[in-house]
Amino acid sequence: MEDFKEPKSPKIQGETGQSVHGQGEIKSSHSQDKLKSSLCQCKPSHNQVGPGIVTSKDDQPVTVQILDETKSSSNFQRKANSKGKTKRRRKWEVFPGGNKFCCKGRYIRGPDSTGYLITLALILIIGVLFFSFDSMYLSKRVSPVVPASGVPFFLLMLVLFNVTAFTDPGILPRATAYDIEKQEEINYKTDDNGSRYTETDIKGRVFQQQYCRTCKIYRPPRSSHCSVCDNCVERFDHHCPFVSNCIGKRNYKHYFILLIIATVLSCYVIGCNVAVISFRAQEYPINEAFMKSIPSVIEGILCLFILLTGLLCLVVYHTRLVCREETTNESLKDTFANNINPFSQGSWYSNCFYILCTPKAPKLLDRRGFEDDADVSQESSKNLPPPPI
Amino acid sequence: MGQKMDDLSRIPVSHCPKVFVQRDYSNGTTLSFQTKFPQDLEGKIDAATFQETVSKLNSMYLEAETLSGKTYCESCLACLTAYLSYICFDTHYEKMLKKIRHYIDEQNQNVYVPRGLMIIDPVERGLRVLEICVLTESSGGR
Repeated sequence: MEDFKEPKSPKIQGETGQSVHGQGEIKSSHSQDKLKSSLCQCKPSHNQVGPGIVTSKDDQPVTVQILDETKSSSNFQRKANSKGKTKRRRKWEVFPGGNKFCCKGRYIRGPDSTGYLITLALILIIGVLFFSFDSMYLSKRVSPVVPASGVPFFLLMLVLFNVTAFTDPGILPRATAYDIEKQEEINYKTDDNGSRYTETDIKGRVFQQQYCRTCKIYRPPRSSHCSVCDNCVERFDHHCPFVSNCIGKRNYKHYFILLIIATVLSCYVIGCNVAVISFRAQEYPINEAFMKSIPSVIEGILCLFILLTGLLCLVVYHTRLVCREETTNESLKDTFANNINPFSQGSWYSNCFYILCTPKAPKLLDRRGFEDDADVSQESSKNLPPPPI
Repeated sequence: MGQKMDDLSRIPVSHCPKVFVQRDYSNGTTLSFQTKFPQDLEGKIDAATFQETVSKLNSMYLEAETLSGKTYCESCLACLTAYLSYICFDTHYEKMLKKIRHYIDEQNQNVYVPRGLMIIDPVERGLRVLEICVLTESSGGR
C-alpha cells in the first residue's frame, strides 16, 4: 500500500459531507489549474468510486469524480500497462516449471531445444539428400514407386516427431495454497530419508505416493518428477534429449510409433543407398561408382550411425516395455521385479493394444487460462515453510 | 435453464471453504474418486445422494477411458491423417468430458446449490481432486 500523503490544501468530502476515501486520480469538472491543487492520495478506508466534493484552493467546493481505485494487494502482482490499468496474465506466462511455450501458450516444449534441433537437422538432411538424389536415380533405374513409397512414411515421421516434442506429456499442475493447507489433514508416513509418502493399495499391491517438495503434491502412482523440466509428469517414462521433452502418459504412444517408423525408414534408406551404389557399380568402376554416389554414402553413414548408436536398442527396449506395460523409470528401478504388475492388461497383445489405442488423455495443465487468485496464492505459497519432517 | 446455468458460473468460489475428495487409486491409475462421504459435508447433504453423484462421475470417467472399436478407429484415423483429425473432431474422451461437465452443472443446479454446496469440475483442478465448495451467505448470491 502506498504511504498516506496528507493533502496540503484540499480535503476530500463525500456528497453527504462525510469523508470519502479513495485512491487514484481525481478529475474535476472545473479548470485544470484548480485541479492541480486538488490532486492528492489518501489512505483508502473503503473503496468508493463515485462523485465526491473537493475543497479547492479558494475554498470553493468542486465536484469531482473519483475515477480509479486501487484494489487489493494481490493486484499489484498483475502487470500494469501504460494507461495504468492492470493486465491479466495467462497461466503459461506465470508457469513455475522449466518448460517453454510457443504460439502464446498453445504449444509446450522442454527447456532446452538443442537436442530437438539437432535431430530435426539430421532428419531433414537425410530426407533432402534422399529425395533429391537417390529418388531420381531409382525412379529412372527401377520404378517411381520405390522412392514414392517412402514419402508418406517420411511425412508421418516428421509429424510424429513434432507431436512428441510439442505435446504436454502429462504435467501435473502444482498445488495451490489451499491444497497445501488441506494436505496437512492427510495421514502420511516418513521414510528413511525423511520424505513424506502415503500408501495406496492397487489390486493387492501397495504403492507409495511420494510427496514432491517442488510441486507440493503427493504424486499419483507411476508419476515421477523430471529434474530437467522441473515438473511432475504422469506415467513418467524418461526425458528424451532427442525431442527435448519428457515422455509421459500423453505422448508415449507417439514416441513409440516414432521409434518404429524411424527404424523402418532408416533401414529403407540404407537399402536404397546400397541399391544405388550397386547399380552404379555395374555401370562404372567401383571407385567411380562411390564418387558419383556421395549423397547416398553420406545418407547411409548417417542412418547407420543413428541405428547403431541408439535407435535399434531403443526400439527393442521399448517394445519389451510396451508388451509388459512398464515405463523406463519402473524398469530401471525394478519396480515389478518380484511382483505382479497391477497395471498390466493380462497379455502382451492386450498391453500393446492398450498403449497404442488408448484414448488421448486430457491436458491437466491449463496454459491459456488467466491467472486467478489460486495462482497468485501459489506465488506466495513459495514462501511457505517446508512441510514438517 | 441455460440462463440459470450461466448464473452458476458467476458464483464467486475462490474464498469459500472447500471440501476435497481425493482420487481413488485402488483400481490403478484410471480416473476415479473416493466415494467415502466426507465428514465436513455432514448436515448439508445426505450420504446416499453424494455417493450416487460420485459413483455416476466415476462411471462416466471409466467410459471415457475404456477401449473400444470406436477409440481404436479414432487412433488409427488420427495417425493416418497426421493428427489433423484431432483438429476436426472431438475425441471420445473430450466428448465424455463435455457430458461430465453438463452432468455436474445439472447436479449443481438441482441438488447442490439449493443445499449451499457447489461441485467444481475436476478438469479445472487438474483431475487431482473433486472440489466441493461450501457456499457462504455472502458468496451464494444468485
